[in-house]
Amino acid sequence: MKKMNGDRVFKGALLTLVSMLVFSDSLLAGEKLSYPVNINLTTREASGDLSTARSGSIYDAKSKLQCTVNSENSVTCQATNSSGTTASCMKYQAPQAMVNAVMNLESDGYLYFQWDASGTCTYVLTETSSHWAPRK
Amino acid sequence: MTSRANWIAIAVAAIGAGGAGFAIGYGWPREPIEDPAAKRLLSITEKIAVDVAGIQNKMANTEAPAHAAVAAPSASTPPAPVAARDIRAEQALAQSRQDANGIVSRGISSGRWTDNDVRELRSAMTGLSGEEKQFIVTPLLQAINAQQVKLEVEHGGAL
Repeated sequence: MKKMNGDRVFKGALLTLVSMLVFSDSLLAGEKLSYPVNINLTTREASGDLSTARSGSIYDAKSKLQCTVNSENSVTCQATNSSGTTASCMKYQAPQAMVNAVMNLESDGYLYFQWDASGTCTYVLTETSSHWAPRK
Repeated sequence: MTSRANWIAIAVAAIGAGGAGFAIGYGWPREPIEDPAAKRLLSITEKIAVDVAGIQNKMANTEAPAHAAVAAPSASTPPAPVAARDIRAEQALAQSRQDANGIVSRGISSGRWTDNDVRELRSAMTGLSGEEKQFIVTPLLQAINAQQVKLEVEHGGAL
């Protein structure tokens, strides 16, 4: 009698575990987007989500997205795609709104930036959303 | 009583003398007298100011890159007196510009931009204005975006 109860508890626990594994991530979760690093040197814009840039593909060891702000309110953004094309812009003494945008960039967020012919950053957009995959 | 009268007489005499002194020495404002020595000193000061402004213009034109002309005073601006410490500061800034331009040129020539270059450039540009910094790094950014310079920077972007 005791053995039968033990089996039943074990089977129940196993079933719960399997259900959690099956339904937890892929079927019941919300929208998921992946946006690899995209650079357009003609229109002078770069974008991508940091998570995909970091761990998009095992064949991609080049992708990179980065923005930096320092104590002089100077902003630097940099993007490198999977083929190694790089774009970079800087804005010394950037407007506070641009600094704020960079500071809001999450490690698994989305980044989009534009620059002009001299390489000066002209626009920075950062986004935090549940649909960007968490950093791996 | 006599003594009292004497004292009064002395006081009246003293007041009278003071009044006379005022009338003689300080009574009416006089026209300022032009001191030739002061005039000479003023002309020397003005000459120094003009010379200093001339030296600064020369420095801006010879030592600094083309963009330094932006910082140089325009021809229509009257020369202002500049102290010796300002000249030294201007010389230091001109040196900073020259060093920073040299670092950027070296990076472009080598085709690589490394953490070391970033550190050197940041140090060389200390004291320069944001506009000047932006101007100095422009050729570097253009070279990076033209894929002529490879970014090998791990920390701090390319600032």
